[in-house]
Amino acid sequence: MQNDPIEFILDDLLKLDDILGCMVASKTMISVMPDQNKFDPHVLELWDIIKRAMDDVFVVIREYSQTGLGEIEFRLQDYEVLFYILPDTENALVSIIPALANKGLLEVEMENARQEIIKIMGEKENKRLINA
Amino acid sequence: MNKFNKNLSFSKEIVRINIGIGELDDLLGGGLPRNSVTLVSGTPGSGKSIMCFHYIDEGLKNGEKCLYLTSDERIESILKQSSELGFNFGPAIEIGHLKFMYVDLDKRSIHKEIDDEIKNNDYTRVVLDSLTPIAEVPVWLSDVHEIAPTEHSKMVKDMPLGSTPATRTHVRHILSILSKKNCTAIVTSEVPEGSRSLSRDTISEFLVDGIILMDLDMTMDRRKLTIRKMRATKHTLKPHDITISEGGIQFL
Repeated sequence: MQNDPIEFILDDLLKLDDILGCMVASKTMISVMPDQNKFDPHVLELWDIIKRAMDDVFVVIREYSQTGLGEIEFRLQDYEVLFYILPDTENALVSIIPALANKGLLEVEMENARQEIIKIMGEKENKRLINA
Repeated sequence: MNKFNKNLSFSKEIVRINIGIGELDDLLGGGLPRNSVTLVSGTPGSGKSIMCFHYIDEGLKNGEKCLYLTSDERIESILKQSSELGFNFGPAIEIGHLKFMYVDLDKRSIHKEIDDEIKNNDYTRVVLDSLTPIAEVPVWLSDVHEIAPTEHSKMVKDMPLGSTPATRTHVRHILSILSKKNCTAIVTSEVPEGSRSLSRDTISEFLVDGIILMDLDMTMDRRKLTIRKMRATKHTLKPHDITISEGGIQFL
């Protein structure tokens, strides 16, 4: 999508060395994803298995999001997949990072990105309510 | 080997039927293959019926005769919905280029009614919106006759109600009717929220020539359209961002 503010946020995340791929997704749909060519090629090689594992995690997110579930992560081969859940929704900001990455900075960046996405969604919803 | 190759007709040109959404037609190499049946599946509100409106509207623009079969919604409600999006089907109905037909699921002659309508007219485009409730109606087929099952039906023992073979026979027969003569058909199917199936009956996706999946993420306010399968067509499997506004479906 052109001029998509959420895609800009994801593009910025991808600029970090240890973010190998990222997206906003739910169980049934990857809603926003930067150009896959910007993903680490090794992640793309493992994409099918990562995607299947992600689908299973989204079942848990769907079940527990309303109870305050905030983050989930799992390790698969040499990678870790971080899910930052958008509160009370079935959607999450997802990042794939190397298993041995120093997560301190990444967690801060992920949290900032999540907050920005929530803000954009809130503004969009407000605009819709005003126009309705 | 050369002799063998000569007998194959891979190069036979496929006639394409425009859907009426430029980008989608381009992705399909010009449109749907003629005489094919394409399943448009998605959750409620994902834009399945709107895809059908585009398809019918394009046919009418080309001067084709179109049939819209509905089993769920009343015809008045479909016309109102289409008109709100900018599709004005009234004049085409008046001159007989478009017919809306309500498929009464209480009757036990679903196949015959649809078959007769298609056989006796020169439709080139047919829409069945939606296949789901029709596929769920217990109708048995024996040759060309439809039989409403009873407890004593012999076939109930062979093909229990709701069994895969029974539904498959029923759905296959409906789909074969829709692609009769020169018809190219679109059928819609509802999938439950959160499901990754391509149809409610989980069978029709294997019987159709093409599948277009409409996805909806209400939280993120995003819609996606994916061509999952299309016979004799090279196409991308990548989901495409779309929006629905006045004028119908637009690619972003």
